[in-house]
Amino acid sequence: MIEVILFLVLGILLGYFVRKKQRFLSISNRLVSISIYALLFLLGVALGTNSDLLRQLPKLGGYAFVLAVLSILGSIVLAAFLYRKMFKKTEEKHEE
Amino acid sequence: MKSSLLIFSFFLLGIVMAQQGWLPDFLLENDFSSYALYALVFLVGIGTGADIKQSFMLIKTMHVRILLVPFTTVIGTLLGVSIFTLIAPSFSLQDSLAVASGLGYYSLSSLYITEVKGETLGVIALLANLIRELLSLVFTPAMAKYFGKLAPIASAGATSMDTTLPVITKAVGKQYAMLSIFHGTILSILVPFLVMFILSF
Repeated sequence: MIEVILFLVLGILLGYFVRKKQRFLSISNRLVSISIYALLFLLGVALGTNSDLLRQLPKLGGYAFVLAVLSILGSIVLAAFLYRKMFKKTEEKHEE
Repeated sequence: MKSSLLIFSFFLLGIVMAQQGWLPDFLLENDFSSYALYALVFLVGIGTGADIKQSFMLIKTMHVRILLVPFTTVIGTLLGVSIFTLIAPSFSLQDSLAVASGLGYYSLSSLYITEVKGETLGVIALLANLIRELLSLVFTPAMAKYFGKLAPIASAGATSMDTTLPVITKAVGKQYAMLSIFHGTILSILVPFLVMFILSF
């Protein structure tokens, strides 16, 4: 996966140097959407041609649902803590 | 939201076309996904690099406690999914953390994970992060009520800058819009690094 990191870093460097070139950036932005569509299409193809994976889909969906719920719960519990400790007071002050 | 549906429909289209056998053989025999992924991260990098100066300036103008919000979201998310290993022992901690480190940015994270860990975990990552976005959209008012005004932003993860932003500002007020955008921006930049970091062990 070293290639992925390499391409990411190269992209960031190039992006920094061309940051004023709006046309170039809007083209690159559109290409991002296109490659996301293409890659997710290919992931769909990989799933569709793999009958074993397809059979497991309800189970995978169940895993995904539980993981999503746990992600949300973990983050909102900590967020509630942070809000109470550092945000609520200033907000009440503003309202007074 | 519109673009989320569009992205997801490409995934469904791929499944249906492969199932029906409507695809030319060269597409099935060759694996283009690694090249497409290189292209994608390169392009995502360009966008990140172009905005990086503004992102740093945004960070400078923000109060220290604002910086804590994206940090809290990452830690909370990773702690939350760690529990999954207790519920489903067959699922490794690393896999749970990798799925969660998508932080709602499902397209990019699921593609990385597919490349490194295979299609099974990639599909789970895609669905989990998509479900995170959907649940955040639906439960934002309830979260704001019971967990405070930062909760909807934390729940939305990387999507708090775009797809879930309108719902969030409606629930917690416009004064949180900047924070929400900042939070989503930082997390979106972080996602590729976080996923790769977790999968490097």
